[in-house]
Amino acid sequence: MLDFDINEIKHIFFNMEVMEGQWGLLFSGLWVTVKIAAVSIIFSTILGLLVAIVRIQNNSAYNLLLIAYLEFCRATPIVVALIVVYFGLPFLNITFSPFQSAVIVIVFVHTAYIGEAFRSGILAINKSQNEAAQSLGLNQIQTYQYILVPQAFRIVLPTLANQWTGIIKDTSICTILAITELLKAAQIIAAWKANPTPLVMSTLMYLLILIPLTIFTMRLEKNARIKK
Amino acid sequence: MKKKIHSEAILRIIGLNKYFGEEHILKSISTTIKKGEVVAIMGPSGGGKSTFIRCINRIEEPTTGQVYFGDLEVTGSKNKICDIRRDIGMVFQNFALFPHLTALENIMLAPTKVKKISKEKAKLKAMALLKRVGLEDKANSFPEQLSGGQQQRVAIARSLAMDPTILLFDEPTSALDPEMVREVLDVMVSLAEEGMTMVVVSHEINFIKEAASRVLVLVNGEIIEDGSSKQVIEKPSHQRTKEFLGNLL
Ligand SMILES: Nc1ncnc2c1ncn2[C@@H]1O[C@H](COP(=O)(O)OP(=O)(O)O)[C@@H](O)[C@H]1O
Ligand SMILES: [Mg+2]
Repeated sequence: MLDFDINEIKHIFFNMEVMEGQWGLLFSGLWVTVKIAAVSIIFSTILGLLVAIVRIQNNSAYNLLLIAYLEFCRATPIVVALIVVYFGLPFLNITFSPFQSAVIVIVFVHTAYIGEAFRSGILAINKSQNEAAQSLGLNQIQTYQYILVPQAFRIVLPTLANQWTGIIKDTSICTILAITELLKAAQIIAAWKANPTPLVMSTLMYLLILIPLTIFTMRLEKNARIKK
Repeated sequence: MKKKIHSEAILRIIGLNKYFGEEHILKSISTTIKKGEVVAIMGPSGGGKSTFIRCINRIEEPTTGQVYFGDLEVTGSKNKICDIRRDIGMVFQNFALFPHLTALENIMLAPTKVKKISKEKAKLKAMALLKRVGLEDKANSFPEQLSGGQQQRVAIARSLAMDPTILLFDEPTSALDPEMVREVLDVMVSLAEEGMTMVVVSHEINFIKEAASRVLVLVNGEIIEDGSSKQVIEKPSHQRTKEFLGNLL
């Protein structure tokens, strides 16, 4: 039997008294999360595009390397990768800050997926587009820059938006590091106040980041003037 | 209609062979195309017409043989292929306009990015070309907003924007609804009248009679007829050509 008192639920999960004086910490956590996510999104998108272009050249040596990389990313839990980079690499005297470690791991993993998305996007473009560009005298770089990449972008935008959302969620792996991003901040307050309200507030804040991202991608899609 | 035939060779094709795997698609083709000629290429489907025309600007890589564009060798690595291609226009069966760009942007792209002409100049020229193909009111339309005939006319304007020495057409009207064929052929006829050198894969018999100075018939990778349009259409020398033309009419 579920027999909850609505006031009790409010008291436990939406207790604004608990939050009093704590918003500052939560928002500074939010800011750290936004920074990690933004840097990771930018790098993994650019690198993903480059990986896709290299993959498409069908150079078997590079391809083998990149396929191995992709399989590695698929098989490795992202937290494990983070532990290796942050706690493991210092044994080799390679030390990264928590922020750097988080960005490196997130970019490493998501570049693989974004690369595959871009690759299938580019391959979905009719090959006569490439031929038309070449027949006009565009070189390979110009063909990618002006013809293939803009079209691939429009094709993969929905997939890309998913990956970007995934990146934002994956920033929460940072709770294992000495960096106070959104979830860590919420955990700290929750532990200190012995109340889960800050955790609820942090989920709402993840939503808060996702809304502008969603609006942004919707606008991009509206501008993408190809109907398939 | 006057046909100015100069003796200057624009294209020289020497012993061109193309294999797809084991299949011998083009069998040692040699021919010369002179300035001002309008050469129609006819022949049954699968005979190698597209492959031939695509080997000319190396969109398709010839297996052996040479193609010369003026004095420049197209085949081989001595000359940069992009630099040669900008002077050889190509019009495709499926138009191949860039769907993310407007008609105007499609036409301006290569002049601004390849020839580095200023945006203002390129735009003036693109507008003039759109006017010439009867589409100045469609400058800001995207390809998907245009009919097939309109798209193909934009594609022709896009090629012309690079001031090509020669234009290659691969069945430019065969993907079009019948009522749109004429508007595209009209543009091509006017180009022929102005002395543009053209190689046109086409089965539009009326266009060929009207505009072509020469007809090649390509069957199974070999040129089996090479003569004036009158000669080839009215008095073909091969039984294979007669059958083929009979099927067309
Ligand atoms: N990319 C390719 N790979 C393998 N075979 C091809 C390719 N392109 C064309 N062919 C083959 O070459 C032959 C000639 O084709 P094509 O040049 O398109 O003929 P046409 O344009 O005269 O109809 C056909 O048998 C076709 O199947
Ligand atoms: Mg063909």
